[in-house]
Amino acid sequence: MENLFIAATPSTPEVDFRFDQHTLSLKGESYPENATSFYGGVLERVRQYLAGCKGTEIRINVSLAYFNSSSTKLLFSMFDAFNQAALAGNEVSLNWFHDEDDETLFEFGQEIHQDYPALRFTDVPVNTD
Amino acid sequence: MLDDVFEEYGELFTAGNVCFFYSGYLSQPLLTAMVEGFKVKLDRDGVSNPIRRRLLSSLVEMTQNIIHYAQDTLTPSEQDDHQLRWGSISVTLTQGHYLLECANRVDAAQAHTLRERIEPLRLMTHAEIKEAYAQAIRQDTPDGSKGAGLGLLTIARDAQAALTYRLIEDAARPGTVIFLLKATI
Repeated sequence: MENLFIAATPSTPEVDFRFDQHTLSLKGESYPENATSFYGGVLERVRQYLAGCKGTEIRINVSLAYFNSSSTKLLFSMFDAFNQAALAGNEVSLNWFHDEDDETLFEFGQEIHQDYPALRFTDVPVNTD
Repeated sequence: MLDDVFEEYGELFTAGNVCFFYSGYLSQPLLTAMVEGFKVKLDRDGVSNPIRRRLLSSLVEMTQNIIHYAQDTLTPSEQDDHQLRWGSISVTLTQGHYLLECANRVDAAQAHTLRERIEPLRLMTHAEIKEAYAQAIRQDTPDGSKGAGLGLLTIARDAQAALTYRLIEDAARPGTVIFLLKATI
């Protein structure tokens, strides 16, 4: 299936989902006016992609410097879909990049790690000074 | 009118302690412009990354609450995007802390909901707020909420002290209430 690329804007992240390479990246800031509009389509494509995965090694890189409250739930739904794929026998790893001094982003990563244990979660603190 | 505002803010304006003060129709493009401008100011002031993120987060949550829910609107409510709604947002720096204030008109039902949501938050410890937040992100979105009902919790989580708010009934427009919210970071 075709890869999904959405260029970043000041308020929405870059979505670089290379389905053919099984590497999915989200990078930037996320505060769209309507998170459902933005992430709805993305989630749809992700679900289609995952439905076709069997015993696949999937790498997910998330490097979001900031995401607003409405993006949060939708992101959680996306991680849930990845978790389901992991439970279905795929090897899904999630690299959670964040500023090394940011407790809140670190903790959010831990929430995902706790809720979705089937994901191979790696916390990646980054020095952004 | 503007001179009254200048008079009132007087020293704050001239000392450069008012980062911005916007009263008018708010929209997503305007919010983006505010965020970008604010980032420059924060970089110049050498504000740490975590505080920077909290400030930007609260600015976004407050402004998007106005864009999503304010009663004074130029655009139809059913419209998903490109909303233009009236409200106020200001960020001032005073004694080393940033004070974020927002105001917008709401209807009686919204005022009731706001009171119900904010009062408990004011009494919670920081740990309790974080716990409430962790639970809220896992719950289904409440009816009528475009932001998963998380906005206020998010602001409360990032604030240094309990949120303060006021609900002032507008005698000139019965059934509507002016909602003011303050957060210190």
